[in-house]
Amino acid sequence: MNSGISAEEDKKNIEKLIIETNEYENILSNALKPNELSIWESLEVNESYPIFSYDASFPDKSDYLKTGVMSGFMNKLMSGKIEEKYNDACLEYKIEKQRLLKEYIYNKVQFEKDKTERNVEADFLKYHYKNGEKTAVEKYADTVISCSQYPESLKIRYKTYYTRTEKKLTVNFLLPELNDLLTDRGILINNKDVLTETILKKIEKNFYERTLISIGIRTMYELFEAISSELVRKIAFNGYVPTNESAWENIDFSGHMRCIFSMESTREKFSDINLYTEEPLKIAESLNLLRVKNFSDPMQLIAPIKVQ
Amino acid sequence: MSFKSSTGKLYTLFSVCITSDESVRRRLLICEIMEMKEYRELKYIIGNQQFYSERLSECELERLSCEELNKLRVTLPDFLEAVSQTYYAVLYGNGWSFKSEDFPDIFSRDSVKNFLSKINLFDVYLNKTNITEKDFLSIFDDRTFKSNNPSDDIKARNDVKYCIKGEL
Repeated sequence: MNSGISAEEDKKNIEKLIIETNEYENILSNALKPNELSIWESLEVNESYPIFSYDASFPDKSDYLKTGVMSGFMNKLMSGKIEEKYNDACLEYKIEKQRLLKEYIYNKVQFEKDKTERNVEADFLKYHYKNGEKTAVEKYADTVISCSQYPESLKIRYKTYYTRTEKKLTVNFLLPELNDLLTDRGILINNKDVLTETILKKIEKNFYERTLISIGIRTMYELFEAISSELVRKIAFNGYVPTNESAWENIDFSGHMRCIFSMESTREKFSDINLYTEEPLKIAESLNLLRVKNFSDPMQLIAPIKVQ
Repeated sequence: MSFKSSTGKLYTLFSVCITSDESVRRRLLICEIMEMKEYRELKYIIGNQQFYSERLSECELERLSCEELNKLRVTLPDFLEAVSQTYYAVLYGNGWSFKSEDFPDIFSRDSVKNFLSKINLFDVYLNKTNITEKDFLSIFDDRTFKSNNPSDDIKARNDVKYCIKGEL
């Protein structure tokens, strides 16, 4: 425990960690449900821009005449002043309304431009996706993955490859290293004051492997659910970890990273799996899991499933 | 997003093999235009309007020569800008001053630029109009009632399209 941190702050940090740990442990059960996979809706804009409104009311002349009735010279002088004041108020009203209208038009133009661009891209993607165009299917798959909500602290990058002739989608995923995933988890476990260093390491290792494999299974599940069976019949997943920090900058899955596990399944085989009751490692084994023995050993790697 | 359809890729291949074939070149140009972001945005904005079906639909593009298609490809970005601004000019600008002869020639960049220079969205008004985003190109129709007199009566204009300069 850091001595500089107050007990109150410490308690908050631990609560936050418990929530986060639960999120990690529930990665599989938190997979997007079929009815949540409304990908097209997430790409389109359907809102309309509000109509222009200006609440201030136009100056009322009678308000300016209420200053009292005078006679003769004073009346003439004052009515001239009143008229001038009234005209100034009218001018001010128009200038302000014009300024706000210009601002409104500027914002509306930007809104409509963005809306058009997004909806046109969505239509274009939809059209080419339905025709099974490689780039469109890949873009759609990327959108599915990006719609999936993972714990905030989880660092991931991915790339999808579609092979039309085989109706196969290969997903390469760059996943965090053990240290990146569990930076603060030790604090939480230490707090329980019952764990030895060895048990702690074992818990961490299991937690890490379970998390990474769960991400793989969840990704395959969401992609099978979201993509039509006419387009994708098979999904392969390659899980990578970085060998140095530059891996996160240039995601080409050729250097600065090693493949630590892979899985592959047909749609039919995957449909037999119960995501919510079965253990992730057990599910993975039924999906032709190939893996290194120790995910954290920088010397261990396997050959990824190739993109044809 | 930038990707070519299979048809586009196929014609790209043909055009390399059969360089002098007019129909291949034409088909390739049509694919290219139809995949242009500006063309797709135009279709989104005016796809349901008569002008689009009469001049810019795929069927109509197929009637055009290579030279016309090339010109259209060059003009499209400015034409999209002109069409977008027309809508705002009808609602808030000088749309009431547009005549049928102002409508730009889609094969001439100069004509489109010239029209763009006529659109005034610097002086803004709340125009009185029954023209909507679904039919705003009707502002170029001579049957549309247009007036720069804000006191013109709109009640008598319900049977026709109108655009009357508004006041603030």
